[in-house]
Amino acid sequence: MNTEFELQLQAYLDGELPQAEARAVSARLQGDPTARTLLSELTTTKRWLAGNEPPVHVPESREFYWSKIDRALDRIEKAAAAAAGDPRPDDPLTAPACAYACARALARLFQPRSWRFLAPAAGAVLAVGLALLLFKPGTPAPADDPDHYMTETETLSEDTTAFAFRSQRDNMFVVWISNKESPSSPEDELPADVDMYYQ
Amino acid sequence: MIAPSSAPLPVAGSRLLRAAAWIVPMLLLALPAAAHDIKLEAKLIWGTNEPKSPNPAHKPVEKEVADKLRKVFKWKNYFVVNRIEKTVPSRKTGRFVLSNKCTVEVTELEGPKVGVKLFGEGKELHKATKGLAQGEWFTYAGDDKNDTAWFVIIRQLN
Repeated sequence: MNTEFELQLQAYLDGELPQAEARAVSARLQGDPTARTLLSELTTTKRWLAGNEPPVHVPESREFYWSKIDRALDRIEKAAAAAAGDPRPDDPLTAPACAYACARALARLFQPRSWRFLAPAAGAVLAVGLALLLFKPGTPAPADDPDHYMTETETLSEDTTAFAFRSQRDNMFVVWISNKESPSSPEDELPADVDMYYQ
Repeated sequence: MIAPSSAPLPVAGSRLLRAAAWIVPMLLLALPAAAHDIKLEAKLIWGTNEPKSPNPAHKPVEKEVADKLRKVFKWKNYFVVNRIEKTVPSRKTGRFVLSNKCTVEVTELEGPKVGVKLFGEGKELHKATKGLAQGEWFTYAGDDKNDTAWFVIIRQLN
């Protein structure tokens, strides 16, 4: 029995083989006691791993934990891109594209032929706005308002780096400040902002 | 003889519509910008895995605060270094001097949003602008010596 068949047997056990290959392995197992023994051992090992593998609890929240991984991946990608002489731009073109689209939409809206639709629509929106204002004076942006999550962040010191993330579950926005010269590297221990916040 | 009523009315109607088309959105834009003061609490907290703070003046944070911090961060214990409550007037800036090294400025902005600026030893370190809903924490944090960390938590009270 060669290594290739051993791997095939493992795949057979995991249900990863195509039907034709699975049938072939099954047929070979009928006449190969060594293969049957190995399959039995693999089956036992699999059962033991599934039933006894200790769960791993990380000391941070899920957002905190995954943001670190995301940050690390981002760093590796940037390093690879830089090594290949193809540095990735920090500022994607999405913001100018959005601004352009908004400008186009506004330009269309304020074309004279659109005005006749604008007044009644604006009136309706005004009524809704007034109602909201009257019933909830001075209420801050609700947490489910998408605009609420639009956050601008800026690092003002050359000696520090900052990463921001939001814990949705705990309703907490965090900006983590690190000293660039700190021996405890933020990439190793601290959260990052790659998903939702970028600076 | 009565003049045909259909001639002048469309002009007047058109002007009215045009005026409404500009005024109503302007009013609408102005409404959310209605200013109001905000009452804020800023806390400087020290996080550690040690059971006690070396400074006896540092009291443990409230249980719910500690529980919330423990869910997000890895430190086991959290102590209040300083706490300041202040009302920031509309479109104005409130300064929270939390320690000799740590100061935070919060500006009430249109939106409603807040502009938050962090100072470390008098130097500007970071600024952020965001909406701050009731119940939400805006947190600045960073690592400190001996595997400890500091936290500045800002939340709206009113």
